[in-house]
Amino acid sequence: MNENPATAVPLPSPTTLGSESRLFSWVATVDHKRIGLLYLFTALVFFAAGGIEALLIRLQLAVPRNDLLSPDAFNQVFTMHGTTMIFLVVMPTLIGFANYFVPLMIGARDMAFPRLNAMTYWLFLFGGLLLYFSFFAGGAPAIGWFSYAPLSETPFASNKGVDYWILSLLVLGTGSIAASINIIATVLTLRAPGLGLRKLPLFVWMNFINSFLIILALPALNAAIIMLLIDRGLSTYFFLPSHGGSALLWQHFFWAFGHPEVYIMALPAFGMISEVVPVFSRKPIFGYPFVAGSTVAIALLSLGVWAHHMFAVGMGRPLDLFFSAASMLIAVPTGVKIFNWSATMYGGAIRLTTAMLFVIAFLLQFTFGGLSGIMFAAVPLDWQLTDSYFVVAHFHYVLFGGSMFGVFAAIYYWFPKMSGRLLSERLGKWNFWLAVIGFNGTFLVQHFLGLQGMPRRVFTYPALPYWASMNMISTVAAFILGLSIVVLLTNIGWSLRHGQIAGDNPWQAWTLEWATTSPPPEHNFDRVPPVRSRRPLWDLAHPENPDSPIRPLPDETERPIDKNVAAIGSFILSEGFFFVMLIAAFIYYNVLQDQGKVPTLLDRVKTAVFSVFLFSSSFTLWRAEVNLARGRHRGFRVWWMATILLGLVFIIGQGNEYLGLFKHGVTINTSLFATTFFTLTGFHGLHVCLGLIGLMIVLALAFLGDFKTGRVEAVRTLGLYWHFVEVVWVFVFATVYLVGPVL
Amino acid sequence: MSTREFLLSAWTWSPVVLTACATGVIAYAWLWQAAAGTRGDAANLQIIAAKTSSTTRHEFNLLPRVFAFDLRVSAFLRQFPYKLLFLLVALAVFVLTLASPLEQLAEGYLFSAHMLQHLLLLLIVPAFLLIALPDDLVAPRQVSARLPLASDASPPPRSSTLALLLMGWTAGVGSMWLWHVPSLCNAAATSYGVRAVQTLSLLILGGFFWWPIIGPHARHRLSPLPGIAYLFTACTACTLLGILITFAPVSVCSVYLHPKDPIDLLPLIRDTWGLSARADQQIGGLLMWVPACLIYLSGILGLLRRWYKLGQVTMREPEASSQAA
Repeated sequence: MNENPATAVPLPSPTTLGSESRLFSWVATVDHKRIGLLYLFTALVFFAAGGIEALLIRLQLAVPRNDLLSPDAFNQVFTMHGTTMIFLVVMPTLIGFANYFVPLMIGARDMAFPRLNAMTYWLFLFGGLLLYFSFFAGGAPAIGWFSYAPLSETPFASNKGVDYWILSLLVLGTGSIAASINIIATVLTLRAPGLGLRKLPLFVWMNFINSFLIILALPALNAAIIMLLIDRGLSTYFFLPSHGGSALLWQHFFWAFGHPEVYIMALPAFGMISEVVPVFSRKPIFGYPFVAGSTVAIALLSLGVWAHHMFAVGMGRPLDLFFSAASMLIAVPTGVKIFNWSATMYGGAIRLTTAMLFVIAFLLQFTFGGLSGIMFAAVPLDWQLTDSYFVVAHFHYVLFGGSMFGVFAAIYYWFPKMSGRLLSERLGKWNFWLAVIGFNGTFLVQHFLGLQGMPRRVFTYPALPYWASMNMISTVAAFILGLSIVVLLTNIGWSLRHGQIAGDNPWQAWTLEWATTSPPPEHNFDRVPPVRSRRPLWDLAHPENPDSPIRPLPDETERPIDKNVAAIGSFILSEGFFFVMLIAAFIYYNVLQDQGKVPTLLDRVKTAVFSVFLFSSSFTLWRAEVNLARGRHRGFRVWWMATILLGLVFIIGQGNEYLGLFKHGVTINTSLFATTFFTLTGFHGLHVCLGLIGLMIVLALAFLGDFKTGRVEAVRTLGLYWHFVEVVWVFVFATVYLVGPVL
Repeated sequence: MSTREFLLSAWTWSPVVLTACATGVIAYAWLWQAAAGTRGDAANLQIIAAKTSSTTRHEFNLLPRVFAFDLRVSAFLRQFPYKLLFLLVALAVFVLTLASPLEQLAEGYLFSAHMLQHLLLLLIVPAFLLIALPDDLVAPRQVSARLPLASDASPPPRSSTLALLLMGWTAGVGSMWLWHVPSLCNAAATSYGVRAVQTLSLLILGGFFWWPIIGPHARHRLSPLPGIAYLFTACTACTLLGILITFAPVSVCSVYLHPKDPIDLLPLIRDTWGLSARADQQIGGLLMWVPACLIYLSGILGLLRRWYKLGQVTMREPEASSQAA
């Protein structure tokens, strides 16, 4: 038997919390299961808010020329509905499930960084509250969830709603990236002995891949909204065409995030489906490598096809054609998944539990939404249908009929594990059928409305033939859908007290989370069963007929990855993409647009000299690490101090350069060059400053006698970050000072 | 000139290209002979070669003997026909790139044609050539598949692997960026000598790039997951260049802006095909942005396949050992 001490994470002892109040124990918790539940509960509250907004939209549109909501209120409501559902419901629900089940499914005791984990939850909660606070601070944002510039700029949206929207998304985005880094580090470093990456339960695998997608895609959003914030706060014009900015750049940046976001909301749901289908078909998943591999293909393809959201803006035929073809390609790996799930069900002993019913509905509805998505990849159809209700119908089929139905399946599947009690199947069937009727009733007719030309985001419509009746059908069905959610909530409330006791493994499932009690103890497992194949509990129950074992590869066993390195590596990857966006903006405005405004005020030579100081700090840092590794603590401290000094010299040089520019009257809103210059170099400077603070903390700790007996990894982690900051400067310097002026 | 006339007439059977192909085939045959020789399989190689040659008379005569020898042919040699296919594809793409109308178009007319050539020479031809090489120049295939499990297989020293990786990555990505520096790009489009250097460098650098992924030395190959990171970062770097070229309002290669047009091709391109210089450059950038990444993606999927197949080998292992016993 494999005890699991190697993967255990030291946690504050639960007894220290026991004496506190129950509320405090939840607020102070770092247990991944409790944090997962907090995520799910909070997302449920926001789901109610977003649902009420949805019903308000439908009520306003129930009859032609309705005046229940004013145009502006309608704009606020659909903006808040979209933003809420995407950032405050679907993403946190998926992250919540990942939080609860990824450690359990890999036989770990907790996430790699429990306190970081708690932080991500609180970022989510307060990010959400920040968004909703805008209602009390002069009105919610009324710009649509993708916040197209210049509508979102001060001249067109002068109240504070957009600022709250930006700040909230920044907080939420930071939280999502942190959560993803945590998931990556957990999966890479805390798997039970024997559980190679090729044996991961598909839910874990898809969350793992999805985490990479999040850390790569969200920096695009963060960069874009920071630029928007600078526009609004410091009167610059990144996205204001009236002053030479580019509204199109916003669209490129936003959709560079927005398209992967669609898959960020879908991949974990695919993972849930991949867990539920085999268990209730009583067969192992059909073609595991294809399901897992197609996930990678989807993730990579999704990063490169964002421009298909922009067919209508006039990018030119070459761009349209290439992105049309590439977008259609995504159908291939997605189709592979649908076929694999269907093949898993084929010939299986299917148990039609509520969870399985939701999965079957998912398969049909998601395929339907996927097919209408392929229609949009055809440019002429896109031109005809864009900004109509056909789009609304399409993405609700993907996100509600797909992702949310996957989540419902997961709730019914995993609720027994989380609570120890089964959800009522009777109420579950009511929930399911009401949801299917309500969902399809609401959104199927919207396809026809869209084909007939009903534009989205317009607060009312004239009484054209059939429009009133179809809209009424949609509204009535939306309330049925709402009712199904009420049934779900009732079911949860009732079953928490009176539900049938579940036992450890009510579904006879095969993955590790079912090997412990329901709900699991704080430390998750007394013993982690041995993992030889992809279905460890099957092997345990059927020793006479076990699955073929898959041995871990030597890469996975001989060179274990340090969790700090895994985390800082992912963080650097994410930060790297953030800087790519900033550099891209600089190039876009100064090199590509050929405005001839690159000022001669920049002193290339002087900056080069100061850069030498920064680059040589990489060398001193390396010497410091070498000294530390050899146990020469004095040498370590001296080289470390040298690193700090060199970094300081660089920052002073940068400050000097800024002062020089200010003296010549160049500030951030003087020209687009100044805007992009200060944004890019400023953010790099900020990173250098943060690095310096980190270096100084380590130095102080070193003087206090730390790092003599261990914790060397903290030094190494910070060192990697510092090297990264310098590598970024190589690119920034090359772009701003070398290439920019030449071209 | 109509499109049809152009496509039929614009083939240039340059002796250099044909000589290169012939040299390639000879070198390839020699490589197999040498590899088989070291394993004592030289006789079998001839049988296989005869079996896969296209003349029916040969096949007819040899058929009984082939069957007789087939049992003795090692797994190493059994992959020869499959490997030969890759060589043929590589040579076919090579010839199509340099002898077909594509070459005419790339010579000062169309930036996009130049880009297509660039991608084929850097990413497709070297990749297929590498796959065509006999697997076990050093380690036979079966061993390479089991390598990660064999405890006595000592991993290569890390520093050399890292240097190889950095070199390969820089070769693959650097050659893309370097040859699109405006002055170099223009020189390559106009001067035969520079073009020759460019073609050769792309093939060699492409070989360096793919070496850690599909090189014949299993020992030098990256394990699949780091391999995916290698290809993904290359894809990112190439996407960035593609985006830059696509959106650049100025011409990357000014030669293509106003082609000299010695063979009166411009009316066909500008009027019949409707390709303006701007659209041409956009297509060039997009080729690097979208399809190039699909090549890397194919590599990534291949690595995933290899990764999951490693598991299958271990699954069959107990059976194999019991049979041996």
